Amino acid sequence: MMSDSFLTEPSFDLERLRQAIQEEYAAVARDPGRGYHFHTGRPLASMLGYHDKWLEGLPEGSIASFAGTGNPFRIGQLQTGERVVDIGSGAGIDSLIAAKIVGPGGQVIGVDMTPTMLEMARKSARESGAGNVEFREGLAESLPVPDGWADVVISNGVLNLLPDKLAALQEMARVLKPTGRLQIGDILVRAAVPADAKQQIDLWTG
Amino acid sequence: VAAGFVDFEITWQADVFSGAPQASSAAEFGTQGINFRARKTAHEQEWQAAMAALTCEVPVKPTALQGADGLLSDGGDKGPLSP
Repeated sequence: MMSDSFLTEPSFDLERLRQAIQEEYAAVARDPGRGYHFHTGRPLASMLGYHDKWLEGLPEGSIASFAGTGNPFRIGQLQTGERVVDIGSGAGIDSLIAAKIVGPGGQVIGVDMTPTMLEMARKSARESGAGNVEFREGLAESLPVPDGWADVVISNGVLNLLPDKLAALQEMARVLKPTGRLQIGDILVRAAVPADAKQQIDLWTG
Repeated sequence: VAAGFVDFEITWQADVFSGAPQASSAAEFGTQGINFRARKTAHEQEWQAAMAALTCEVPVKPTALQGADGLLSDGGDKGPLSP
């Protein structure tokens, strides 16, 4: 049954939501051990099935700030030489893993809207010697990536943060080549979320 | 499908929030971490075929705003209205 709450859009300003998300994840980058209402770091990566060999050589700071909800690399195998876009790349852990898998003949673009995370991700790329990854500032709803550029789009724990999920999915389709793959880690809710709960920004940012 | 994807599949799901350092409302809503995949259609014809194969329609505007709240708030889908 379709309910009113399914159709209720949040009434707060989108910029306010983006600001709150940036503040939340910048805090994770600055102080990953503080304790949040989600797991973080290496224990989370282990829980989600990230292989130790994927994390080898990645800066600990990048691993410590990891806050994904799934594992895009367990969904399908990335191939050598492929182009990958990582949406909401955060501290860069998934982009750096993708860069290792696709190798020097492949390319990875990580996109994030949070300057603190971009700074951390770029530092991690330099430290790990990844020359085939770059991080660009942008929004999931308007990706700074050309049409049909990517073989694979990955994302981890980001789609649920976006009020307009269709716009984000359409952008993912735009940057993918025909038959390109979407490999996403995210969340689903099994119970209806009441309309008033949808107005609480802290429920969106977490 | 509306965005241009087919072959959608959830490949994994699990409770990834329990035991987090701070209390979370995740359990209240049955929130689970998931992995899912999909494939961009190869061409316009494949996308059109996927759209045509859909068995339900999403209203262009929320039905509640079109004066049909009753359809949304009682016992669910009752099928076609009787005369």
